Amino acid sequence: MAIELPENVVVSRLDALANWCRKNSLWPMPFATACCGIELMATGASRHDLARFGAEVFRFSPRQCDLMIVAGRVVMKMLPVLQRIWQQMLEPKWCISMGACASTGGVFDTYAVVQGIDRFIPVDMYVPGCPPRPEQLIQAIIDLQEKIQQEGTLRGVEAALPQHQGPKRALIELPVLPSMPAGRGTPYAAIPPASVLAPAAVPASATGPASTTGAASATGPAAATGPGSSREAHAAALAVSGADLAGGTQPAAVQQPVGGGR
Amino acid sequence: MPLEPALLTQDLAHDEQQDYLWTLNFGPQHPATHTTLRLVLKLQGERVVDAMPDIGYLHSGFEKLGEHLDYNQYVTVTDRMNYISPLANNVAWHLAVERLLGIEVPPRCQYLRVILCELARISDHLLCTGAMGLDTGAFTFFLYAFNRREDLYDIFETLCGARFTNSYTRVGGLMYDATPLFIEKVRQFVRTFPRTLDDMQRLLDRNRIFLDRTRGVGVLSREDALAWSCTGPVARASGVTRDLRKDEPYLCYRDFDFRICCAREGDCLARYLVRMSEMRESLKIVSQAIENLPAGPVNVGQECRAVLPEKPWVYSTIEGCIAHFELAMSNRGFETPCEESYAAIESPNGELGFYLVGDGSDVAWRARCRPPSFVHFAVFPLLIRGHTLSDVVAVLGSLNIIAAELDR
Amino acid sequence: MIRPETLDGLLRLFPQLEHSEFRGQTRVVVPRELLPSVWQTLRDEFGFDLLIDVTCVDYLHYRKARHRFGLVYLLAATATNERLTLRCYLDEPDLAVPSAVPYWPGANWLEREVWDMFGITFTGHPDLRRILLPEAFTAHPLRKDYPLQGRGERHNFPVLTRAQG
Ligand code: SF4
Repeated sequence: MAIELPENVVVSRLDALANWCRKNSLWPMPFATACCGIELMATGASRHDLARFGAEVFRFSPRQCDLMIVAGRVVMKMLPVLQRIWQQMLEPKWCISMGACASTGGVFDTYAVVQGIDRFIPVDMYVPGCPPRPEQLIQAIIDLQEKIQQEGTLRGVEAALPQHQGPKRALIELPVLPSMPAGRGTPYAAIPPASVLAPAAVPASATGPASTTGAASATGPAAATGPGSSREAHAAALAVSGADLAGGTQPAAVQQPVGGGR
Repeated sequence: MPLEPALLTQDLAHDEQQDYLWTLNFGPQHPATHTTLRLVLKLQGERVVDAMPDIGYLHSGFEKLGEHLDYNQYVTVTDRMNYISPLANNVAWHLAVERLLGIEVPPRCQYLRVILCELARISDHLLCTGAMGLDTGAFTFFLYAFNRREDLYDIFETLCGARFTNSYTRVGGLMYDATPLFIEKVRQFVRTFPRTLDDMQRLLDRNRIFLDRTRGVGVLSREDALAWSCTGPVARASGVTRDLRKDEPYLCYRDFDFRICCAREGDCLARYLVRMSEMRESLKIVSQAIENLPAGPVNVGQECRAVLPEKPWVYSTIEGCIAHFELAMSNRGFETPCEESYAAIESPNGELGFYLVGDGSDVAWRARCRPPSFVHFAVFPLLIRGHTLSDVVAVLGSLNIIAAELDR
Repeated sequence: MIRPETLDGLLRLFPQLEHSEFRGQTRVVVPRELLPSVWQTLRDEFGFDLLIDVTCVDYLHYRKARHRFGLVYLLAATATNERLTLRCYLDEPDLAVPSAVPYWPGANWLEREVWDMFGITFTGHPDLRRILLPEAFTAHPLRKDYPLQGRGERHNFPVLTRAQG
């Protein structure tokens, strides 16, 4: 009992159709801060010609874009700007982290440079290289198109999947504060060194009634994935961030002694 | 005709009662800044009454890093400083290190370094003038400029394998000698580039829109240029006849016949013209240097302990291997004097110098960079006062502000 | 890179200045109180019209160091092509020097950077604010007792997730 279709009619899922449309009309937002931005310009210029892959419409207004290309290092003065622009972009949106600096901090393991933007915003594609060649960036865009085709859904429900609810565990560097302390206006005040943080945090997470469950449930996976989790400070801080990531319980009891120790 | 700058005084800008003034936030993520800098503009209608630059959006701790990397490693970081002309930074850094150590590099190395500096100058000016054209509406001009930059990237890639993070110099020499292919490519560039320059100048030099937007805009007087520490094309466009290549000849600039390009007007057009004519002079230097390239080694000999040994020697003999390890291991390295010295080159943007403090080890105690962009951007409020909002991009383009060098 | 008569003239006017030479560069150590008058003389009488750079060195634990900070002023004379380095030593807790802005306006941002990076205050500076680091930053990072990786400021931001975006 096959239904006869007229010619030129194709049956598909709506998701697939939407993905197909989306992937072939990416509008990049060039968040070009440093040297990689020059290669980004070269990718769009005549020799490499990004237009061949349907992603040449660079728009500098975040509200018109759906692909953010972060090219260059992001420093702590710039990070709030980056987050603001990311939030201004409309769903569905994707992010390419271009170059060693945007992905990991690169050679700049210094006080000012954020060690990978994926600690603070979601990233879909990483492009290695310092700077990546234009061909590499083009490859990343092609790969991203593939990813959009396979993973995307019409309503964006994939964004609610648990793996998208925070930075990847291995990428959390220590010491991490639970979150920016509420009521303190400045994110730039120095954090006490780990030796100060650890003794304060361990008893708190052990005794605080609100955070006990969160910390306990998080310690298992955290200890399994964290590099060098044998160190006490390491585990304690992971437990803190684990409690945070487990959601629901804002570890107020953990925050308290940290603030007091300052 | 360009509009006359309105006579506005500073007091007006700071008068709280003037509520018809409104504030515009420009940057840090704005296409016309090209880089990450922020301007807070006070406007009266379309006139800029005052501008307050806010920088540091790309401050990545270069100078602190300089205190932790040794003299050969740090060259990679200087690449990322002015990423439009990284080879000039490489040369400036190692010139400063060699001044501290008292090393004189062999002639072939000097000639190669001069060629690289001048090619870097061309690529810097191409980007600067191209971007300035782009901002004032001349998109074709930008494409011409960028196309030739790709050729330069090709040349650099032939030389050292990287498009623009070259890291080509070493203490007392170069990473390795240039190949015949490189020389051939440079020759070809020298042959074909004048035509591109002619084309570019035909596009813009008598373009009515471009002239109207740049002539008389952002005038910097000679006195101001000196008082505000300007150097390079920005100062030369205002009539300061200072060029380190002539005034304090470093490397082998004495051997070449070239002129210093200056202008008197000090406006955006003058800065553009100075850059365009400097490219021709650079080309002259490159063609003289490539034809007279002396033979011989590119590195100082092994009697100087600070120089990395030749690779074939390292790979084939035990002595070479030891000599290499003596330098490369983190607990060895070479000796430096406990002294301080400063050396500068005429980089495309102005005087680029490094103030080094040696502490006996092969890591600098302090590696201060004298960044021309930083100094030039401080002049910006002076230049823009009284002009219209659309002139902001023209002035910014003519100053050639590179954020990584501005903020380091 | 300095003519002998310039140096002699300067030393005749200010006999208490020490000078030294390294690789052709002449350095003069100027006590803090004398800085303005030395600047004035150099600019008006010896033609040092270009202030190349103002910077600072932290000598904490430096070999043979007798002072904590050394301010460095690099001067150049465009007419005669001379260069001169002025140095001025400072010790905690009194880290204030007169500002060079009245003599060379170009010192404005350079001094702001020194304040930002080393915490040296310049009295008489028109606008002494942080320039490279955020206003709320608490440390002076180029001091030797500040670690390269910082004290965790770079991680102290809220995290955005997919669902929040
Ligand atoms: S990855 Fe390399 S090229 Fe890219 S911004 Fe960082 S230092 Fe520059």
